[in-house]
Amino acid sequence: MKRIWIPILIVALLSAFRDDGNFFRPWPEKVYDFSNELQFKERVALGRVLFYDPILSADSTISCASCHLQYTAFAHVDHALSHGIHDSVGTRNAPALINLAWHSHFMWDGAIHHLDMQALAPISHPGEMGSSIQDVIMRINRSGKYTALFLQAFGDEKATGETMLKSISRFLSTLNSNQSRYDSVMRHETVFSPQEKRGYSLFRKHCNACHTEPLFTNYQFVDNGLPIDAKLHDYGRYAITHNPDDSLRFKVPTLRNITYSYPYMHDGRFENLSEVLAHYDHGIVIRNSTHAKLKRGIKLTSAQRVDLMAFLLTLNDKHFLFQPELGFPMK
Amino acid sequence: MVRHCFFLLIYLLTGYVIKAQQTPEMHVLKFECSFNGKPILRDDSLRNWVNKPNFYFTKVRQYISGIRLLRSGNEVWKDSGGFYLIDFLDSEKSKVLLKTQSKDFDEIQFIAGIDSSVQVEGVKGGALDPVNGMYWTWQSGYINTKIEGFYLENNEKTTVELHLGGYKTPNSTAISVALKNVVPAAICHIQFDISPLLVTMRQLKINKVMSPGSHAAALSRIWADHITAQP
Repeated sequence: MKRIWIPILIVALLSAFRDDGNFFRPWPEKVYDFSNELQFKERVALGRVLFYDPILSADSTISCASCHLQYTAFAHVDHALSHGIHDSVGTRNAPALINLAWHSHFMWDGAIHHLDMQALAPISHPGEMGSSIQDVIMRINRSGKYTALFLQAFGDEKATGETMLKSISRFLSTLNSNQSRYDSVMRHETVFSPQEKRGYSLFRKHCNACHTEPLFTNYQFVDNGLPIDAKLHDYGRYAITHNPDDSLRFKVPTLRNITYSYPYMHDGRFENLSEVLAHYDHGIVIRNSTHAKLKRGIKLTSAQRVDLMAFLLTLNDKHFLFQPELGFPMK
Repeated sequence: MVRHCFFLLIYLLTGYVIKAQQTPEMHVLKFECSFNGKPILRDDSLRNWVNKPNFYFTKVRQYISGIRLLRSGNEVWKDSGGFYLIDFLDSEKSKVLLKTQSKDFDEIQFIAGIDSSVQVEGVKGGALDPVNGMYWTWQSGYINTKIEGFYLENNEKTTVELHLGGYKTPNSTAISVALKNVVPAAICHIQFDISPLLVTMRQLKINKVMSPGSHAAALSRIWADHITAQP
């Protein structure tokens, strides 16, 4: 009986490995799956309206979408550091919001440990929305605009901190990008070009340890050897854990939609991918906390850089950028 | 006829006894905060602090959870997952009504704070709703104890802000409290003595603790070690 399984296994493996050498990498289980909740759709719809509504900020000028625009993969390409009310400037780059349902910690330093709580941080930050959850709830309940939406989503027309945050997290959990060319190749719907294939091999060799497929992040906090910014003095995860070992470690960002979500790094110091690759080639600062795989740098020839770029372009997902359900709610 | 009346009487009496047995006992836990035995009030000045500055409280809040009643070490009643936000400066928000099935207990146990398992779950409502101002915004986690005020010394005002939170070992600030030799009463007074906490802060020259860590854990321990049940 056991022998029957051997040919089945062989066939399965053969179907997974095609002549292009690609192996389908199953997606891990989501950390957050709210889809079984009653009124899930209504909650997502409410969260979407809130995401695009500047009512969340103290002077009603800044919404979540002000720094997380859909057509830039929910990142912000205009500024290296996030902007807030009264033209205030933050200390970190607004990260792309992609596949958040698979993440257990949020922000560059992992300060937030649950998707429900993520929105609290920008709402309360004086350099971002400059408000408080108490004031936001008061404004929402006074506006009248949300009465029906909260009733449909939670059975109560009055917003609370709990229901407001839950609705935003439900919407955030739907920001899923899985329609890139890379995904099509992995689903065996198409194949990489020879150049993309060479770039993929380089990626697997040099980048995959941290930007791990298929989400292109290992969710860890890593010191990638960036020189310390003399003005920001940002020590990353250390500010949260107070553990010296966490000094200068920042969360590994996803590479999905990478060309849409510039500038790069936690402080947006690199304008383009060439600068990023140059950093990994010869700009890495070696210190105790620098990731072991980076201590000798990532030395690539010009041709190899082009190949790697070609592969990185396959991570772009235009469907995600123009998916109507994720855009500004017209009604 | 007499026989019927007799049985009716027995029936009614039996029902009354059963109902009386099922009627829950009502106990009120009244949480109070005192300084050297004197209850503190909003904007009340404490004039007998170390070196005698005048201290004024503007906020003294505490999360309480996991309330249990015991008799001779055995649990006789357990609260079903209630979380309570105690505002020591508001007499209406410093009471917890317990509907128990037992009036016979000699020990009260509770957690001064929120258990770590709840801390890592998603957003909650009621007493745990972040609108209550007891959830950190720059990081995740509930503030178990919030004490705010100021003191005046040589006409100079110094602000004191204690936001004691943190749920990860070894710096957890949720402390299990067991009050023994309690005399059951309709109102049980649970008294938090703030004096040792303030004296320690004064000695260590700490005016602000705003994040999890060893300071928060140590001060939470001092705070919880001076809780007593008063008759």
